[in-house]
Amino acid sequence: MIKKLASIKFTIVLFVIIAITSIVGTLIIQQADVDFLKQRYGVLFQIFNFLGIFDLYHSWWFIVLLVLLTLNILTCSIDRLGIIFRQIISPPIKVELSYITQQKFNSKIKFKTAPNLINDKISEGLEKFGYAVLGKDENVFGHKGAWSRIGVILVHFSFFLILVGAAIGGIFGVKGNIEIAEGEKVSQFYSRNSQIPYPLDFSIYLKKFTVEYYPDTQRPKSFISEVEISEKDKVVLDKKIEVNHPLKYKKFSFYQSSFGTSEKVEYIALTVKGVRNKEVFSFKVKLDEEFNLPKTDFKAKVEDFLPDFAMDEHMKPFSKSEESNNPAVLISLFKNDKFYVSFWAFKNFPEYHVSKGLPYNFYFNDFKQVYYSGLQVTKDPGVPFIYIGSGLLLLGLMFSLLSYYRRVWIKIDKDTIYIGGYAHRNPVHFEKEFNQIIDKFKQT
Amino acid sequence: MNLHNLFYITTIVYFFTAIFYFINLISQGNKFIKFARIVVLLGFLLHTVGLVLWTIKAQHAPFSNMYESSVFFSWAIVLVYLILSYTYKWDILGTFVIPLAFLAIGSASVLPDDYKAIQPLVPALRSSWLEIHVISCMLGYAAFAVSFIAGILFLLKEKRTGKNLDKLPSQEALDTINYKSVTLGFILLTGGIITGAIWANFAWGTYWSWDPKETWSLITWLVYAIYLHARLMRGWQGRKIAWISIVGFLAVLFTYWGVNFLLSGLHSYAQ
Ligand code: HEM
Repeated sequence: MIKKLASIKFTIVLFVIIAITSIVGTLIIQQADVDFLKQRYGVLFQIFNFLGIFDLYHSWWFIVLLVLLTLNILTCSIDRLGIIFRQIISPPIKVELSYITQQKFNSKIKFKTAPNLINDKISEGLEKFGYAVLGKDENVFGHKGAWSRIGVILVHFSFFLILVGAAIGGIFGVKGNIEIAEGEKVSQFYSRNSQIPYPLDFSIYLKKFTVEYYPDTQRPKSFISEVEISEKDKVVLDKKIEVNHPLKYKKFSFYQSSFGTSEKVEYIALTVKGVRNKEVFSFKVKLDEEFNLPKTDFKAKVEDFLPDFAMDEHMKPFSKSEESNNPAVLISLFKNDKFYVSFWAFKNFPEYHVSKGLPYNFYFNDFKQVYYSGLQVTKDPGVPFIYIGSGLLLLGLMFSLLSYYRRVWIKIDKDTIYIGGYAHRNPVHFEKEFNQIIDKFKQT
Repeated sequence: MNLHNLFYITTIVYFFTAIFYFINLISQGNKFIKFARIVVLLGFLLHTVGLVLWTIKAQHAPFSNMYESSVFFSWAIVLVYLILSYTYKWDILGTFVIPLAFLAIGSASVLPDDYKAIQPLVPALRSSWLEIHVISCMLGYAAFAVSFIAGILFLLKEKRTGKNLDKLPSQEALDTINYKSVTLGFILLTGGIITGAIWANFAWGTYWSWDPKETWSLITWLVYAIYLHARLMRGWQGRKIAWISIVGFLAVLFTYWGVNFLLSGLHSYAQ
């Protein structure tokens, strides 16, 4: 059983199954709305749903496949670890002549007289080819590319680390979203698949949200949230969160993910014109802020703001959307502190006066809505494993694939030099190197 | 000078390079390969200058949309081919590799003008990790393209013999070429997937979200991981290996083009 689990055949089987099932996941819509899926897939819906195909990469059987792969690579690596280390730490250094002549690569050079080459000289020559000479008593032994064997260990260990990191992230990680309006403070967020808020032991305050544009265009260059993090009402961090530049605090990372305008307004700009005496006043006010019309008995106040004004069947105003398609303000007028009248003023229809017959006309000129910023919140304790694993994987691959392990034995017996060679792989390249080594000794 | 025109000229130069290689293949001896070698260098020079100027003008690396990326892919194919052919003396492979580079840049040239304009990057794409990611993937794809060619030629030589085919590397050499380029490609693709994951983690807070592009790159990676184990541990060679390298490159093509046109996901951003 363990043997099977640790076999490379099993690895290949797993790779093939994972690859094929992954393809299925790219062809069938993932993580979509149930009603939509029912309509889209009809009778197949039940079957697909039962098999977990609509969230394939998180289905129990796909996770089982990944766990099997993890166990496979772990057992197989442990299995091979000793073999690989022995291979490079204690290779056969002192060998019989017959051992050399039985190598796949072997050759002998016969001299007329016994060559006055000593092993020191030979090992020097071998070192010139980049070999580490480990012995030169009875025969010379050198090997090269031991790093490529270490690389193999590194590759498998780091791949294991990546899978472990993914598991840690899946089990202990949290992901969610926060929406904060400018001037608001938040100290909890909602995770993806839960209705219960996840509390933070610090609060995050959005000072300002800005969209930066490329010069002379309408194309956004960056979205920036200026935030303050506080603990127990003390500000501990003042930073910008920008796309591609998340904020890290404690174990959490905050990413700029979306933005929008809230129904709140920062200010409203109004112009008031006297009907008879042509007086003009300009005001920049906040919602619910009273303001006097100078030298008159009148006071006014903006009671409400709707970015996309519409009326329902009971003639009750409401906002159709959060887009500022038809911005309107509800203005109340007071005479000698007594309620006088209320009416709507529209930014897009300045001449539409419900305030007909009043001594003043109100024009709604401009406003600034409050932005809200959508931040993705993540806590993923698996990420360091993923990063370290990835780095080692790349390093290990370079070590193991850009070189290979080989050994050379050389022994002088009377008037003949015997040379034997072994290559872990890449026989074509080794044959060339082997011949070069032989040529070198023939010359000397 | 209009940079689109510079790339048109490059396309034409590659076309003539391909013609020279082809004439060389069907004629006696290897006379025309000298011309091909000079012309391909000329094309590569133009191509490189064009990409440098484009980068300066656009103020971002040239792979934010399909036009830029196809032009860059073509450049990567020629670059990898030049490196491999100078290192291992595989000039003759140009006969098949250069047409591929021609197709890549040619497919970009015939795109409608709207798709060719220089556009500023959307915020998510402004990242150096993304740049390393794309460069690494593209060079990896290019190396896999070379192995694909070697695989096809191996199978071709299995079926047919002939004077002209004798100009091609021996089956043994093709097998080696196949392996060397897969080795190179695998390291580059691994680097590409890793840097892509790092970028995604900076941009979205998720290093892996199983979007179709990511998933297909993983599938491609698995195919070549199977290739390496089959070859290195099980001693597979020749025909079987040639077939895996062909399947692998089909996966590459699907990852690169198929996903954008047939499936949707996060990466549709990059279109
Ligand atoms: C998925 C990522 C993997 C990659 C990139 C990878 C890569 C490699 C490479 C480059 C080699 C070098 C071959 C050589 O020594 O010449 C190798 C060998 C090997 N791989 Fe993997 N491998 C992976 C997964 C696995 C898994 C899951 C197993 C599970 C059993 C496995 C088992 C082996 C074995 C047994 C060897 C031979 C090691 C030796 O020489 O003793 N590999 N692999």
